Amino acid sequence: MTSSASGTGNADLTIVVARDFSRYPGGRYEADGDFSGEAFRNEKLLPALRRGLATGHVVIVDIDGAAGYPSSFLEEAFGGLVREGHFGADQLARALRIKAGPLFESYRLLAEKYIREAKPRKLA
Amino acid sequence: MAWMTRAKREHLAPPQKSLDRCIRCDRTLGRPARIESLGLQLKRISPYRQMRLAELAKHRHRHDVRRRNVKRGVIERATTAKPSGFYSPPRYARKLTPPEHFDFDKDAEGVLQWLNFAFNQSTDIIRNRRRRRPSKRRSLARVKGYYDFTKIKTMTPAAALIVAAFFDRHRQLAGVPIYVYDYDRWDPQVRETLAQVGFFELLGVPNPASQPAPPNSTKIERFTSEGRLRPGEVGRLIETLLGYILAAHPGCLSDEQQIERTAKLFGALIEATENTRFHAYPADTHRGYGTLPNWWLTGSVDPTQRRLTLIVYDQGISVPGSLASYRSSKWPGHGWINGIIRRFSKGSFDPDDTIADHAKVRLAMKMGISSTGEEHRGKGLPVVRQAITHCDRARLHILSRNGAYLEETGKRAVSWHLKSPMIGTLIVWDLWL
Repeated sequence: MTSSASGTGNADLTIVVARDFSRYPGGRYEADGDFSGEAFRNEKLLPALRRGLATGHVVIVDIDGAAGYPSSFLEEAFGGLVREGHFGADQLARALRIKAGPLFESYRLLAEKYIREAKPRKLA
Repeated sequence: MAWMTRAKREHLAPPQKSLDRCIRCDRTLGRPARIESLGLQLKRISPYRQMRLAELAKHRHRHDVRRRNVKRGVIERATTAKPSGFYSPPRYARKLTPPEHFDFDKDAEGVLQWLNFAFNQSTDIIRNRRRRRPSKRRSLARVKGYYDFTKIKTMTPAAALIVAAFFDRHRQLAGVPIYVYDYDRWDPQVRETLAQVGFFELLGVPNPASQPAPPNSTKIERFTSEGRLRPGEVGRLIETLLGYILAAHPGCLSDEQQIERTAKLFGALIEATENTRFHAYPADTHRGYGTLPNWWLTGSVDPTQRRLTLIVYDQGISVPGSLASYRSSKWPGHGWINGIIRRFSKGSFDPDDTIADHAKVRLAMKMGISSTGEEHRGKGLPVVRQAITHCDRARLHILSRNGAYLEETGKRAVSWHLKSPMIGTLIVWDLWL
């Protein structure tokens, strides 16, 4: 896959899901099929967020242009950032912005809800 | 064995076979019948000879049953379509008649009865083929039974997908397809529906020549079947079907409506196929036969009614089956509801009784129950339901084991019990655009 985040220097890091990942986002886990939420999180979101935090830039995820978003994709991609212990919800509120037009507004709200509601997984 | 003397051969223990009763009419066969008729001479017959006589008696009985069935018309002469494209000479075969209307709205019970019967029969064949050594003979000589599709008058795309999935499973697990018979005498509409869904490609038989379809006839996309998620194929199917509607009725949907409907349907279809992947075929389920852990997907468009139909089917353990009490279901409501019913029924209620299947399907659609018990899971089923909320007129129909669920826009969702179980889960979305 190609690099997800475009822009360097002072420009914000932007991921356009339909362009940089897939027009047809899939389900939850990588093992279950193509273009999963887990793959998006690990391949696109996490590197961009780490780079953004290191340079002090906000990562923008543009969700317009895709065929649609299954809830499991959104939950795993965005809620998974907190659940898997990569970032805290407060940290993400500062470092990540989800951009959507009026037609994809509901998906933006859903992704933000999943981030808010996710609980870090307890280590055994 | 050739080097053995006859005396030695006769003292060998007879093979362990159950030849006592006929599997069809339960008549006592073989050895006991022979022993009775032979009376005092019994002592002189060796075990080896007894076995031989039993086999002969069984063979004679089979011949009698067959002759009787030909007389009654249960067995008829039919023509097989071979993969090579040639027709076999007519031969006698048992006729298994499906219902006239292959339609879940008109005759769900009839379709399900046929499906259960055919499925069980196919399972027996799959099981026996696995036990048997591979035969060197490659012919269609032994035709024991066939499905008489000449009696079917109507077939919906959903029913066609079920038939295709059944034939697909058999082909993949048994290693040989079930052949079709007399298909030149099938109803043209039924033949066309099955041809469009990809049925004849499954069997490897040539597609019967059909008249060019009228411009406004129903268009059905060839089915897709896969074990993993294929979001690309799902998305393209929806876009193709919407394209048919827009070609027939230009301007009936604005760009925004098109994007919105694609997104809702895409989300619903991905959730449905993902549920199949996660829940329909658990590794701990032993159903006594081979399982093909796939989903089958197709869609159709009726341009005259501006109706778009999407269908997903799997042959798994079904929605109620995945919520059975012996599974590790941690959804608190599940235990709570079962507890209440058990208390009112004074302990006689069995939470896994199929009579409660329709209630379980309805609850799963309403609450988003997860059989995994994980908090972040189980959000999918309500999404399946939301796909119909954005249309003026739409319908969601689910058949899962013994439960049926129907929801139409502007009406209250209803669910009811099915006498014959659906094998797996069928979800049909109908949208009038």
